[in-house]
Amino acid sequence: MSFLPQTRSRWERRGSGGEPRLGVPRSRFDVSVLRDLDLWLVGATLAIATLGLLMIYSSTRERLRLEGVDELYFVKREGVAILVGLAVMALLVAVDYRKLRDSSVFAYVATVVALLVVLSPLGESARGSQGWFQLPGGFQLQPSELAKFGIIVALAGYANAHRGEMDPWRLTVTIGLAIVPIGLVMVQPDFGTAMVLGLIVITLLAVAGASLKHLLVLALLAVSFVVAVVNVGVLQKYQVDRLTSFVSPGSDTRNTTYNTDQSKNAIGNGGVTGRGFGNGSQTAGGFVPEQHTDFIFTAVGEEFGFLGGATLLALFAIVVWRTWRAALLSRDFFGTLVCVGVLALFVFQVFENIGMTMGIMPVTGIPLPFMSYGGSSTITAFACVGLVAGVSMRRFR
Amino acid sequence: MIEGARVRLTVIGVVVMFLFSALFARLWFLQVASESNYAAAAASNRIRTVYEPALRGRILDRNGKPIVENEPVDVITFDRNKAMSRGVHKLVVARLAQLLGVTPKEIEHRMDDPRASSFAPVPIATGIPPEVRTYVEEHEPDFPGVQVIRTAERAYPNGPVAANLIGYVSEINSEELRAYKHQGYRQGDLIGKDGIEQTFENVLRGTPRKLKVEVDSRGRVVRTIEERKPVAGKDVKLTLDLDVQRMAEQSLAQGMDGARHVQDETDKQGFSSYRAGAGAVVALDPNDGSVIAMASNPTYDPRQFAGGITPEEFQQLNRPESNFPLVNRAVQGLYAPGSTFKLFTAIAALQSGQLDPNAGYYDRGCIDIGDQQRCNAGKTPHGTVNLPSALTVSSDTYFYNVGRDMWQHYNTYLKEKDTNKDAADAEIAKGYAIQNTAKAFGFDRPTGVGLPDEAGGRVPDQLWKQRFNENDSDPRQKREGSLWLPGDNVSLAVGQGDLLVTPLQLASGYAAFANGGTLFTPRLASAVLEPGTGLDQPQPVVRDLPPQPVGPTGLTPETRRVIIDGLIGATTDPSGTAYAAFRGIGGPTVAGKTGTAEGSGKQDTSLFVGISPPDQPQYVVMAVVEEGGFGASVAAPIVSRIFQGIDGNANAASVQVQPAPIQD
Repeated sequence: MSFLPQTRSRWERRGSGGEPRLGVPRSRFDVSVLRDLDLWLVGATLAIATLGLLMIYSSTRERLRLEGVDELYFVKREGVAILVGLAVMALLVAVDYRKLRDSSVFAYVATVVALLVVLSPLGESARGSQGWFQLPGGFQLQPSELAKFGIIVALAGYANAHRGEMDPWRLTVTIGLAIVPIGLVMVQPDFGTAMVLGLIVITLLAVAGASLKHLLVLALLAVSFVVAVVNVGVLQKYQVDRLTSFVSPGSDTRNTTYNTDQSKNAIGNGGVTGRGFGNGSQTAGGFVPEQHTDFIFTAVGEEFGFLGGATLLALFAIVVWRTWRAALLSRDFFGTLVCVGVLALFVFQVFENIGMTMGIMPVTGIPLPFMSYGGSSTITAFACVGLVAGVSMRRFR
Repeated sequence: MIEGARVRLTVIGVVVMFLFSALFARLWFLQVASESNYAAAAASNRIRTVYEPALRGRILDRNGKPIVENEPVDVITFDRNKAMSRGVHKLVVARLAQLLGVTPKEIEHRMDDPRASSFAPVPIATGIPPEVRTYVEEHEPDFPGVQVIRTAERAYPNGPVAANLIGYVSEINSEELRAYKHQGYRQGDLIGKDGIEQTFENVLRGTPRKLKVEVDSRGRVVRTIEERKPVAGKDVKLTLDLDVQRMAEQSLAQGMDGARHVQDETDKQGFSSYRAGAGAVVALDPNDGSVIAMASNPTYDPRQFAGGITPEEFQQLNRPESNFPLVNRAVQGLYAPGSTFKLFTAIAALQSGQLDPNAGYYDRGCIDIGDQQRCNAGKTPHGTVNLPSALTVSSDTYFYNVGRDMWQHYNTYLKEKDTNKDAADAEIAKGYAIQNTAKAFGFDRPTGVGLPDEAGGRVPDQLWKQRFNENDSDPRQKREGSLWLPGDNVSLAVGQGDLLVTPLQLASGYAAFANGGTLFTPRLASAVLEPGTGLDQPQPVVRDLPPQPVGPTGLTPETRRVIIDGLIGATTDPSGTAYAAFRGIGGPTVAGKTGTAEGSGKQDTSLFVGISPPDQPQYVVMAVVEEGGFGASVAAPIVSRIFQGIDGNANAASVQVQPAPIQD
């Protein structure tokens, strides 16, 4: 398969013989490093973000116009988020990622603190979930999104420091530490993000050397935990209904699968070539709820049809592929772990979100990276790409 | 990287490829492979089907007077699906609150009503005055999403009469939805609950209007696709007489109130008065089983349900302190009939040839049954009595004696049954004469009148007793409990023991006696009519509901003649138990029987059944008052007053509860 990298080229390109000098970060930014910047990755990311802006416009303009508000309201805000994200991405590309290697404690503590504070009276709640801070200027900050970034950095650093020592004891300690932020997220309650974090942890541990046996046990525990939570009533009824109605759609009341049904209708309505930009009757008619956030893929599916939807999937596939490739080619283990974390994050979110809009995954409130309207989510996604780009860019030195 | 990480990365890569392939495949399936399905489903988004209930049929009394009809009522609704900014929404809430005189919070609360369908406008206020309607209509731009619609509500032009018989109308619940879904009921529909409203639901409901429209993305109607016009519900003409019903309810309430001022002389402890917590009245036409009146107390006001009852109000109706006004005692109440049952004991004894009606029996006040002594109330001796006079003075010992004699036959049957079957059969027929007669007159099973939850009552015999006691853990109790003892038959003879009847059953049995021996199924309605406008236009009959005879009871004219003399004596002879209640009321003679039933842990229950006129009877009226005292004291005066009303004396004096009971 042609996209698997050839190890030969890496050694060829190196020039001077001998072992590469691992583990020594560059102290100042060398522009020449940009030569190896992964343009596939950055390009695909930008393409997705642009498409996202278009879709946000298409799915919100009718409603905004009815209310007499600026049609570009959401577009502008998401645009700001993208710009901020790009800045963050540039920063992370510029700064050597290895500088983050020893900051896992800081990342972890910062994450936990942020998640704790959001549960205090300082945090805002909406729709039964207390998950963000209201910032001046009308902007919102969602620590559970940033927690994804924080967990990746923290866990990658920790696993890297103890690579090869992933015995049951250390595994348990790691899990125990990971439970804290995951639990705090669940308290909000945000079941979807908790699952994302859990998956990141499991994937990272898998690559970091936990034995297969331990992983299986871990996977089983996770599954039984999910089942227990669903049945015991820690979740709100509507959350349980969403999951159970996914499993047995016949038993549902109209309201629970309403979102998914409307979504499938909208996507199916797109056909092969779509109804044309701005022409999706379901989209424009406002029949799909949450279309500018969780269900944004339906707008693509309806307006650009199979060609559009497949193209978007391909773009995501490129982003995922390049991330995976970066993990493989990273010159140090920390970089690999970071990329694996980001890989898990993107793959799960893309699969769950798009799968949900197509009715093959249960409904959870997970955004589609780069596309769903949401500042914290977009910025975090760009930050993750920045990390990965940085890793892949520095794989030779 | 570390050992094995490369391999794991590859595995992850494979998994990721698989996931993406799944997404691609699903997308293909949705958009390329099954496009037409989803296009149709997408189109269905834009099509809305609206249902409007048809006008419900009225319920009329036998003279065509409307008991339940409909009145138009204006309702303010709010469309929750209409897009509006929060500011505008708040403004609308505030304006509505001011208009209706409630707090904005209350308006929001009503808007959030989870019972309302998420696609239909939610009702905010029902029964608004015309000024409010006009104001909203004239200030339409101020009330986006608000509409005033006109619907019909149940109205009771003659007041809350016969509530327990008529029932009420309320929103369908999930159980009923599941059961009747195939008949086209939807969430939010009204359905008859209890009583006539429920029994005749199919007739009264009609067919709802169905309107299929296409809407634009804003929910506004673009065009009408299909319309099925509504068919109004049919009217039901009952056999009930509104005037007699009112008389019955009034008299029952007066009697029960009077009873509560009478001291319970039999109360050993103290000086408590009778509780008289509940009661019922049933009036039948003995010639065809028609129900002329049916009252149950305590009762309720069905108007509470008309606009939608609140959960608190409904709970109030179901609290023990309210004594369950929703229960229709006439068909759901189970009572020991006491001495009123002696009629059937007499019939049984005469028809089976076990009794000479003219033979004298010396009533010394008590009688020995086995090793027990059974006595009249107060151990009053009545001297020599025959059957008619035993009925007139209600001699318990006379009937105890009859019961005991019958038990001897039963005992003989037990001895003979293994050796001489034919003789045994003859004996058992005589031994169980009371039970057989009772069953022939409609006891031990529901009458089939058609009202919901009708009780069947119980006529005990050996088999019943055995089954009842078979789970007794004490083996000696169990064995004794399976024997039919003399005391059991003797108690049965005077309408006590384990015998239970409903007021309707008792009235119906007496009606069969009154008309010469034909048992009828009690009849609530005489016809189903095309809906009327209430303007005295003749309403064509859709369906006749003729009387339904169940069959002959085997009553002979001689038996009837003998017994009716005794019943006439009860009200006309000074020694009769009900003499005081019927003295001087005028009108045709009322023949009747009092009853005072004992219950364990309860005060005595007062009963009376009256037949008038004794020859060619036109009415059978019975009254029962739980824990009301003596039959002559409370139930007889109630029935007496009702007969005065039937005779045309609508303003008869209040029920006079008789304080000094004649022993019964």
